[in-house]
Amino acid sequence: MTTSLDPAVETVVPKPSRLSGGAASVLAAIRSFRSSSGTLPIGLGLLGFLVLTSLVSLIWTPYPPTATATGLFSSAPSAAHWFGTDAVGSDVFSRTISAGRTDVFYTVTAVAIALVIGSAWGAVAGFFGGWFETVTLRLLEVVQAFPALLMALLVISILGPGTFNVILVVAIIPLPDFVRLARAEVLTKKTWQFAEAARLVGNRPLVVLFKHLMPNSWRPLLAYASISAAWVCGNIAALGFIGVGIQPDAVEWGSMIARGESDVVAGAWWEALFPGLGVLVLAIGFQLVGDGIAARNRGEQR
Amino acid sequence: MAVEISAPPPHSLRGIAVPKVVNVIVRRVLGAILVIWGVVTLTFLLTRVFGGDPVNLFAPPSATAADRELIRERLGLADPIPVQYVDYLRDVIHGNLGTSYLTLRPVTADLLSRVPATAELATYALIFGVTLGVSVGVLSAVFEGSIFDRATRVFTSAGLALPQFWVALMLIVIFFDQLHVLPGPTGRMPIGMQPPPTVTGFYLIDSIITGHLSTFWPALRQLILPVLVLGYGVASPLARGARTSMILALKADYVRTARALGLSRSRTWFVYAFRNAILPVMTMFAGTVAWVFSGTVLIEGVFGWPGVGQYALNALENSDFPAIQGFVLYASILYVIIYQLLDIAYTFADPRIRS
Amino acid sequence: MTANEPRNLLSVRGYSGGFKTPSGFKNVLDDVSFGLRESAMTAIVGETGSGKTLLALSMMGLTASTFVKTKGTIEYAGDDISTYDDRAYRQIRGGEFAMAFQDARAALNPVISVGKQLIDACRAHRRVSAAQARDIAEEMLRKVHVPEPAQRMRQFPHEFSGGMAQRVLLALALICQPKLLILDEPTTGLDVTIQADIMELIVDLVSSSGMTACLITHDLGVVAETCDDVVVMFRGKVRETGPCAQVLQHPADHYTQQLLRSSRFEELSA
Repeated sequence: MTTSLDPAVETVVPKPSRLSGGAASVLAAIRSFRSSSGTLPIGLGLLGFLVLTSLVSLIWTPYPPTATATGLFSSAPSAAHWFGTDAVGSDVFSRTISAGRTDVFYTVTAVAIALVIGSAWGAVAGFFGGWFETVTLRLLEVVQAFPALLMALLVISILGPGTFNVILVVAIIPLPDFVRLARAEVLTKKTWQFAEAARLVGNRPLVVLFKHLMPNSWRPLLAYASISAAWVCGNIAALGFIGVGIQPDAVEWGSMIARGESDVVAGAWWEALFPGLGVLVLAIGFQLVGDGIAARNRGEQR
Repeated sequence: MAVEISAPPPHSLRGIAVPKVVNVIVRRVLGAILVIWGVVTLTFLLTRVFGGDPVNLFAPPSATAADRELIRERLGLADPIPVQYVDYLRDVIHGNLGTSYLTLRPVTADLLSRVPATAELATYALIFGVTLGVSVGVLSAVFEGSIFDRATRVFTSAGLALPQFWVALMLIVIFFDQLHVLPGPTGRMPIGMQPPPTVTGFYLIDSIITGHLSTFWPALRQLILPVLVLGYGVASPLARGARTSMILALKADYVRTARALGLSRSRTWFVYAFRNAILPVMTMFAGTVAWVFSGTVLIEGVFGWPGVGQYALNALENSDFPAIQGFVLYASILYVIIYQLLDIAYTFADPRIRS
Repeated sequence: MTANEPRNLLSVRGYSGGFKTPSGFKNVLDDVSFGLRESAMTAIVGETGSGKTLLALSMMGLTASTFVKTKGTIEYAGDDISTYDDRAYRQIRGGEFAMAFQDARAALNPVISVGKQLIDACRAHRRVSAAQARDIAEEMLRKVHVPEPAQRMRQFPHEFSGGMAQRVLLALALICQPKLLILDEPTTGLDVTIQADIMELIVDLVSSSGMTACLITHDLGVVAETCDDVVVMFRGKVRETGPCAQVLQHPADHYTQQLLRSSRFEELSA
């Protein structure tokens, strides 16, 4: 449980293992995923479920997701329409599982961008310090002064709609956190003896940073990536709901909720409920996976 | 400045070293000004440099090149970028953020007229959310591992994962559509009902001080769902933070000392541990304010709440750039100010930083 | 065994216990028996990990929730206090038993003024007004030789040196005039000269009040100078108990002999 917070347990200085980097550490991590208890398997299960339904939607849906007037308009869930139909008569079930493709893809891509760019940026800032670090920290302060969603709205209203723009905008929101986290990781590790050793045998600084230091930091970053993915998919849905960046009729959960919004007051709950559950499962899945990785990281430091 | 405040030794006045406090405030204020300048500059860069040509928004499709040039001139867009930047800075300092394309009124005036609605909603949501989050987090730490603790965990996980606008819709489904116990999303007042005369702009307060008590209950019922949704969003991260912080405090040496001295359980938990645990949580308050600012845009939209969030939403839907820009700018500046104020408050709350 | 003397303030008999861990039960204390003679100062000596601090916490009823007693008793005033729940123990703690911890600065609450902590401790057991408690607290600080007590009351722990903080901690422990004072390595981490001052103060306070005291330490030099009785512990077991003079000069137990030899060696080489 939360025994990791117990200050009585001595924090052992993490040993610079896994220098082998790359494939070996990925394998080791996958192996240890299995042994860890609790949240990780559930989270992976939820994400796996969404990926599965998304894949199924590629080859089969009860009705074409974009087809209108497939039956009655705004009809409650029934044998013919498991999740009911919406105001234009589209099948909510078909749209919900197809929309998973959009939301999962947007989320994963945005987080990957934030993770890669943010970590590299933060690592370089922490490793070399100096003016670059100072400017970075000031810039982060300014960017984080914008409440996240407002920032996204402003940027997207300027850039205009489009898949790439939406992904870019939601990637900017968690980016500063990755920069800070990677910087902190590098700062605590750059004085380690093995970093010193790597420098002394004549490795170039960037090589020391990315081949020797960062491979030891990827798991806290990955844990945070997963946790931030929960926020990212919420923000994507919010953009879709507002109808900014994502086309109002897009097969996307937020847009679907927006389409159902006006009918909610009239009692047609199914139009908004099911796409919302999609967002919920995706967010909780990422959150549990992130918590699980973080818990495992702490466990291993004992 | 720095020269003036160097003299007296730290142990001078009741354990509070005055110079340090002044120092902190000065540094905070300068920091805030710097960040606000950054925010203004970034907004300018985004809208004027990377944004599209605003002339397109004004010029009808039939406009000739000469017409477009005239519009450009009138908008002050013909000047070189640095000149535009200086103009922009001057305008912002004077509170002049241009005219809304939509309402044809100054953006600042538009926003100000809608502040009370948002302020009332946000204030109650913050009070509710902070109280709920901190108390739930602290109690789940005290009863770590209990059923209450586990229930809290589910409650906060859901709060972090649920899209707020969706929660809002689902609550409307439950309490309005199905149970008929709360009003529908019709804004601050039921349809056809007059609000109390304006004094503070907060309907609940105005209804009491002007004696229009008949409006109190309806206004309160309109507030319940949006406050619940926004407050839940505020409470979840705070509960998490408070729990972690409180668990650490409960395991600290000084709590063991308090127990060894035979202090009562409530004093040990809610004074000796809590006072330490709340300090790191205070740094999270600023984040919750930002959360509420973002949340109002969506929540006001769902509940038809006539505040600045809804104004921004309308502006977005209609590409009303001055309005969007003004809203984001004001929200960010307000956020920076609140953030720095909280930071100063934090400095005062912790004796170790204070002196 | 000398545990069964009639004038013992507190007797530990056959006390055993350990921790529940994810990998199973780990026994830490094994059949521990000894007594604390009234008005005497008893030392519990042993190296780190011998279970001496855990034993002290057991006497105070402050063991972690993962600790489980498996058998034995701790007798005080005709009762087995090891069966007390937290509520019952709270009547004893601070009022009749008090404990001063090592690392005094961490043991004091960093965000509450020293005076307030003293007043709270005082009013936990003594029915006095706030103003009276303030006077008692100030008097107590004077007793432990904290200069300018009235001013010091308004300060916070981080404004105290390690030695001063340890004095404050002693004042906290003694403010309700306890019958038993447990000192867990009270001088660890302090400068050598300050260590001597603190020990001198402790001996003064204990002997002038007729209190029973229990000093947990690994410093046999201090034990020889200050204590009446000694309990030698090793890996959760009591190896030898008895009057200081006897145990330190004619140790019967092999481990005690070793311990003495190594500490003499230290003294010689120092």
